[in-house]
This record gives sequence, structure tokens and C-alpha cells, in this order.
Amino acid sequence: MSATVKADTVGGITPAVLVTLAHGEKVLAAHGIMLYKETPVKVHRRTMKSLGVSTAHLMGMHALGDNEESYFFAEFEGPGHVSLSRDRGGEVRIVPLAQNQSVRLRNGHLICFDESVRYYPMVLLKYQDPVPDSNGNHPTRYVFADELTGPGTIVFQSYGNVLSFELKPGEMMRTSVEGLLAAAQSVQIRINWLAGAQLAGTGNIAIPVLDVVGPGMVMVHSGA
Amino acid sequence: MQIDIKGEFVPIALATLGAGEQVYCEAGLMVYSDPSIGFQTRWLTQGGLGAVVRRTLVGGLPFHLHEFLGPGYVAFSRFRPGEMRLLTLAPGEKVDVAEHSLLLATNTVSFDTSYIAGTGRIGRLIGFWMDRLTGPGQLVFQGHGNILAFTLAEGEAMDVDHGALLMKDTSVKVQAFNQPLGAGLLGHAMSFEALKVEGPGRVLLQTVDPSRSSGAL
Repeated sequence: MSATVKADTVGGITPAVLVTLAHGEKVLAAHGIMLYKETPVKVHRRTMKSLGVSTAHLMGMHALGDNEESYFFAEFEGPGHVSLSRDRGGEVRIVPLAQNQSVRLRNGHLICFDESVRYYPMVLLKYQDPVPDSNGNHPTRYVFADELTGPGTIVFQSYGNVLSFELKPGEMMRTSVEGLLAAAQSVQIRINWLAGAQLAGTGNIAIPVLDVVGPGMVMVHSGA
Repeated sequence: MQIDIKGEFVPIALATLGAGEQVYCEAGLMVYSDPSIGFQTRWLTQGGLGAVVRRTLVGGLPFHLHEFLGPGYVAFSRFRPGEMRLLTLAPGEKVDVAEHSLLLATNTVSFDTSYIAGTGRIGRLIGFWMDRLTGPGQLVFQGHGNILAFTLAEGEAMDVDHGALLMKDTSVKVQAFNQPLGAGLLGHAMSFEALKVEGPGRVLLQTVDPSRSSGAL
């Protein structure tokens, strides 16, 4: 069985991913994003537990509001082609990961990954919402991510276009909370605040941003 | 008659009609037209009252079509992003187009509907309708997102998501089936409905499921 799945993108506005599987080769994808498949391609249910993600961890993620997280993936087994689409516009990236190379990808963007890739959903960071709710409390907001560790290929889709950066050690860039798409595990991500406009009713409401510090790869998307 | 597709992201189809030439579309698709263009409504009554009620109230197909009569120009859009295709049908040639995907057809193209039965599972108790168009003439249809084209040989088959099917030759057979998600009772309980599409003939798929396209583009 090959260590990396052969994946191509098809189309421009709303690209689909075309995965070519050899006999016995497998790819894992979120349930419900299959566009078509050749009849010989088998579909299995692959539980998170079998990938090393405990049910307690998943329940904890759900409790924090990570509604994207399912208890299983759809597993497609070759031979044949399977095409996948997230039903939206945006650039698709096919990224091969080396042994033990880790990428943290914002949740809801992953299309598929090689079965040799280790998958782990996580809380990337949390912060207090600067805008109070109706009770005057500041609810806690969570940024969720999928941590994917090689070897193997991962395929994901952005909102809009992807801008890639390679940060040197200590080099910093600032992104909006929504703008960050992916970052290497070596990249530190911290919440920071920009002074917002002074409003008569609410006072100064700060704007949360992310300070992203290298070394490592950072991807930002333009349509978040 | 001249039909041109203009634009890429949210394209329009521009029909330039000679005197007496006619095109039709579903209601509400006209963007602009020459003041000289005539307009009338065509009611879809084929199959009798029962068929009309089933088609319109259950299937969501329109009660009527709008007809535009030349001379002049008239432009149509579905006001959403997606690739458009212009197709020329020979006399007697038939194609099925997913509902609410047809943009316009010349008046020589006859319009009917064809029903594809569902699996009867909960949530899919009924199947769905496609627009059946018979040549001669020209038609324009639009996909959600990009269009992927296949030509299947006799007996060649593929499994297609429910929302991906955009157009097919009538020689292509379509049957809904439950695709289990793994083995055992749980695999069947978590199954999803897909379509077995079998050649010979052309099949066009779209990359965005219309039922999930809201806000996606």
C-alpha cells in the first residue's frame, strides 16, 4: 500500500478533489462530502476511537461547541476514483507531510487525508468575547483545529484564496482570528487585542487578533 | 437565433432572437431584454391534474414557464455562481436536466418531466424530478459550481451523490440505493442515499450540492 494518496483538484470556482486509490489503498474523509465514486470503491465507517481519539475527548470538544467534530470518518478503499467536495468556493491545497511533521488546520476545512496520517482534534486557543451577552457576561470563545501529523498527504479547502508564509524563528505576523487557516506545530499562536472604537453605549470594545510567531509555515485565507 | 454565454463567475445567457423566434425559461430568470421582445406564459398541464399536483406541490417544479418572443435580445441568469453549458439537441434527442438548472430552451425543444424513484427511506420517501427536454433545438443549463463531464460506455456505472447529478442522456439509467457506511447493523443505520448511474451516455455532475450551497459561494 502506498504511503501517500494521489489527489488532484478539478475545477475553478468550487473545486472538487479527485482521489485515485490503488487496490487496498484507503483515504479518510468527512462523512457526507462524496461527490461520486467508482463502483469498486468500498465505503467503510472509521471511528475516531480507532484513530486514537477517545470518546471522552470528543465529548469534551462537543461540550465546548465544536459541532464539526463527528465520531467517525468515511473511509474509501480502492481500487478506483472517489471525488470529494465541500460544496463551497475556495482554494484547495494538497500538502504532503513528512514523518512526524505536524500541521494544525482550522476545523471544518479538512477534506481528506491518508490513513497513515495521525489525526487529533484540539482547542487551538480560547479567549473571552469582548462583547458581553444579555446577562453582562463575556462568553469564552474557542478556536478549534485538527492536528495532522505525517507521514502522508492531507487535502483541505480554504475560504477564498490561501496566502502562505514561512516565518523565521521569532518572526511574528498578526492575523484576524478568522483569517488563520493553518500553522505548523512549531508556530506559537497567542491572542492579542487591538483597541476598538470608543462607543457611547458600550465603551471601548477591544478587537481580538492572533499574534503568530515562527519558526514554521503559516497559511491565511482571504475569504474568512 | 444566437445564444451566447457571457461572464464566468455568475454568467448570463444572452439570446438574440429573430422575428417570430421564441425561447422559454422558468419564471423569474430574465435579467434584461429588448423592449421589442414579446412575453407570454405557458402552463405545464401535461399528465393531468394529478401529475400537476404531484410535480408542483411535492416535487417543487414550476406551474408555468415564461416565453419570450423575438425580434430582439433577452438575457437570463440564475443569479448565482456556476458553470453554464449550451447544448444543441438533434431531432428526437432527449436529455434530463436537474430541476431548477435549466436556464432557457428554444421553443422547438419540448419540455416534460421524468421521475426518479427514491429508496423510500426516512427523509427520502419520494424521489425527485428532472426536466426532460427533447430536440430539435438548443438549451442552456447551469450547474452549482463547476461541471464535470463523463461519457459512460454500455454497462459502465458510477455511484453519484444525490445533489451532484446535473444532466444526463435519457439512455443513462439512474437508480437510488442506500450506501452502507461500513458493515453491520450500525453501518446500515448510518447509510446514505446515493445514485447508481449506468451508461451508455453522457453524465454531467456539479461540484456543489444545491441543498448545501446556501452561503457557500
